[in-house]
Amino acid sequence: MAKVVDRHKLTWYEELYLPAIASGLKRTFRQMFQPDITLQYPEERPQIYDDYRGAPGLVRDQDGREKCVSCQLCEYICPPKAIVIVPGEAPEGATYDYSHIEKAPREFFIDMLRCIYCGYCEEICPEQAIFMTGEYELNAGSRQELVHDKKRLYEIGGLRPDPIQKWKGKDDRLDAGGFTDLRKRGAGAEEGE
Amino acid sequence: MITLTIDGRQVEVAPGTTILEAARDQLGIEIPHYCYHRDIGIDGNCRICLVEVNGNSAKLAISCKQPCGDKMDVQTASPAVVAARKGVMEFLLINHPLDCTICDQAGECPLQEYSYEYGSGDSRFVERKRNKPKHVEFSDKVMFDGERCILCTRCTRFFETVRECRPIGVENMGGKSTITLGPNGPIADPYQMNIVDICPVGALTSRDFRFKQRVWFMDFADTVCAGCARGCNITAGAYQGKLLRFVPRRNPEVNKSWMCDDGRLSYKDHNLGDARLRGAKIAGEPASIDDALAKLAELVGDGQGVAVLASTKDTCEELLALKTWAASAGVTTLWHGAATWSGDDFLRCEDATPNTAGAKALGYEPVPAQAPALRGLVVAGDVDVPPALLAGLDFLVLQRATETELSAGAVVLLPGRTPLEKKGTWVNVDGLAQDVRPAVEPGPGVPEDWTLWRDLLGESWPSVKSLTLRVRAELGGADGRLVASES
Amino acid sequence: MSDNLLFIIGTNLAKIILFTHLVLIFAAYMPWVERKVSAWMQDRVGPNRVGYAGLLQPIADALKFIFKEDAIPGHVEKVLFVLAPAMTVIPALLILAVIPFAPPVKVLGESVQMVIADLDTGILFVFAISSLSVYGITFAGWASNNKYSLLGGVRSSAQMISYEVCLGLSVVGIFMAAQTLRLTDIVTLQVDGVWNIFTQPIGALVFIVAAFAETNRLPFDLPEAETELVAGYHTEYGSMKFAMFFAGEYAAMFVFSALVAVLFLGGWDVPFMSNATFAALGNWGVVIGMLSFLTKVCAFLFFYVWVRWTIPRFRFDQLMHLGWKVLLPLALVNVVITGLWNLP
Repeated sequence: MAKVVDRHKLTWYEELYLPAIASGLKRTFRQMFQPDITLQYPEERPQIYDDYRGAPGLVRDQDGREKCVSCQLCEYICPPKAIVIVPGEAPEGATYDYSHIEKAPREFFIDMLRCIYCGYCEEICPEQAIFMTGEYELNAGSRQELVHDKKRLYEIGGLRPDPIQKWKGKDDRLDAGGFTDLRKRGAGAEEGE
Repeated sequence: MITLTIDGRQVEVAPGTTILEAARDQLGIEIPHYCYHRDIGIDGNCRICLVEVNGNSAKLAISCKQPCGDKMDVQTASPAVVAARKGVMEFLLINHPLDCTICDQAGECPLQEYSYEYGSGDSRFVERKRNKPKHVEFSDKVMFDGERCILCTRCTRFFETVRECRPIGVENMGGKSTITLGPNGPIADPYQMNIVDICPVGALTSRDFRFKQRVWFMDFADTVCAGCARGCNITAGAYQGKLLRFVPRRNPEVNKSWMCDDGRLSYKDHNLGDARLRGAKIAGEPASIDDALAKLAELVGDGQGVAVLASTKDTCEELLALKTWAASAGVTTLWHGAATWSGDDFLRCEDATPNTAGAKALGYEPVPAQAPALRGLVVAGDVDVPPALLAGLDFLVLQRATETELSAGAVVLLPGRTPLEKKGTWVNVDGLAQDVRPAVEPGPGVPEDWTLWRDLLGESWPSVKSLTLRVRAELGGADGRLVASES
Repeated sequence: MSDNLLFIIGTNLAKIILFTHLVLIFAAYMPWVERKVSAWMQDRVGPNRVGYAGLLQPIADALKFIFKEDAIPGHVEKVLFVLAPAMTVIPALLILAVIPFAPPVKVLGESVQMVIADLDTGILFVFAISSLSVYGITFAGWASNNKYSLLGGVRSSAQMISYEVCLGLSVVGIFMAAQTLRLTDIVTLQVDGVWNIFTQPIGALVFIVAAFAETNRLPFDLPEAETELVAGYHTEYGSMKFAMFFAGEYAAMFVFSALVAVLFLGGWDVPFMSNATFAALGNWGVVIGMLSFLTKVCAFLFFYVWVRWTIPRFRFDQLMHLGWKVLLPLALVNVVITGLWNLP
């Protein structure tokens, strides 16, 4: 239902407008002597808080292991489909124990032109391998440069100590004996053929 | 007949039917199961299929093995049953590594699915998980992970019952039990990759598909394997237009749940990549398809001395359209070329093409040993042309997906689709007509094969369906049976 | 007054060069002032990159304007399009001719008025010329062949015509009281007497409001209202031509500030100083007078900027209402009151 609101009838004083203008001028004049609230950007930097959602990056743990196992859940959850992962086997000749991890991303692309910084990738990651970092200065000379590849993502993410390291040392605990070493037997059988 | 109630609904089954089968076939109730597989048989070791019979919640029955009894009252989801399944799930997950993040089975894993239903959010197990052999190469096709294994023994029983051999078995006892290779080394059976499909967890993985792509990113199409005349039903999985794997799809009349490894790996033949011919060529120069067809019609002329050689990988619809055009152009010689490979006594046929029976039914004949002298030859589809036919030809027309060494001698080259891009009907070695559905799209410059012959005819069939109806009519009278395949 | 022709030409040339450059420097630095003041009012810093506190910004801007490609769109009326920017700058500079900057200066023993042309009809000359600047804007709008530009031009002409009337009438009171049209005389009278802003408050108010409208400044910048007209009459302009519109606007602001100072704020007057005091101080008096005058001009220029960042833009009907129904009657009342007051 339409509700009629009567307009406030101006008094002759208000109708002069000049007092209102004067008070406006007073306001702006006073404002001139307030401290500046802006930041001189390239020299001064804003404080970046821990939960700031900047560019996503991949992290390594304290052993230098890339934590991502290319489970592709971030690729699945990513609302703008910015993430593309090429999964693959664990890298050859890695210095740390890959016996239980087996899998690692061969390539990992995040299209920063598509990324909306929602942080879902960080939230869904079961390996705590992808984080929204404090990196907010993204600029490039071409569109291709803003598609971050694995190398760039590890540069952004850097190293982040992992207190749990759930995959570490699993093979050390392998129960002694009891299992036939199938790899040996398989190889021997092949030679015997 | 036996009458019983399952979840309050009355069903009538033949004697000997198990509760699990009765619930599944009569009521569509899916009772969870790991060790039971309908094409391998009953073992009864996983205990997840427990149901309550006649209100006896103290002693539940395993539905996969318990035959239906008269006036039985079965509860498949009573509180006791759910509690029991939760207990079974907890035991199964105690030593399972829960590494779904790296497991290829994730997304199509019954263990995952049932743990959503019956699993606990966290574990009460504080002890160390058992460590067992991991990434064991059972052969160059199959990889085994002992920690993920729940010892349902489907794989060993597959070899025992279906293949009647024992390349793998269970070793050790109790907590140290694990599947292991037999003394003869890697599995050599040509059907071994079926154990990857039937493994309910990620213990057995295909080394070919390993870590290629997550299944939830893939597109699947229910179609038929083009590897041989058996026509095994498959589900073809593709990612971004590239085929990544074939998996058998159950059809009790054709392949049950199985397919051979060569057929399974034949998806690679259908990923053409850059080798594909896009658009037509006249005398080696790119041309529009319309121009190429006009040139073809001009070359064929009144059809005298011209023969058509069709591939038996083409669908019946394509063969029918081709035949109709040939008849209108005065071409009376219709041949089909088949390829062969080594067959066996299980699924593989000698005939390595999927539609020879269909071509025969539509009036195509094998190339005679003494071929008549020809003026021209129109080759449709992926077929080997006998060199004898090429002698003394005025013109050669090739219609196929890729260029071969023959292409240089062809006057007109027309594009074609691979079997995994076709829609139509194949008739398998037993005369069973089966639907073929496209799993991938070929991209620009490759129209559906039958449209070429339609355009030559000047017909206006809007879709392949109009041809399918004619095919069904033609085959129906012969020994063509149409069986709707299960998905 | 000397009869020496060379002397007359020399002093006049010197005055022309001095005053014109003064105005152009002001016009160049006004954008900097505008940006700084608006920044302060908005708790920002403002230009601070080029030179100390951004003081070299105008030079950077000028260089940019000069070196930019002078593009002329294909669809414009070329002659008028090129002419229009000049037509907005020239009237603003022409008015300068009659504005007295300081008390007469002694050069080589001769007394020289610190005004380029000390016309008997100075104030009329101002009105005659200032109304010409509307042609530049109207032509710009017309020549651009663009609906927004045309609307800007049309608005400008309507606005100028409306406020020209009030502007003229508001100062009638002054020369009724002063009984002269010569601006130097008006200033001299104020130096010894009272500033006109005290004797003619209504006239001052109307003149100031009209001055805002005449220079297209907020709250009366409807010809270039960017929320409605993209950029109004200069939408199609770029590089130096745009810079000329810019300079024209700020030159006009300077001129109107100078007029306010001359007509209402006593020109070069300093409180408690009389014509005799200025004369006694000799050429120091000229310097003091000039500084005093420029201080008043600067203060009013600041007021211009201050108002711009305080009061929002009028609607066009409000503009017309204010011009015709408020300011015009006020100015007329002012004339009548002044007439009655000064009855002999």
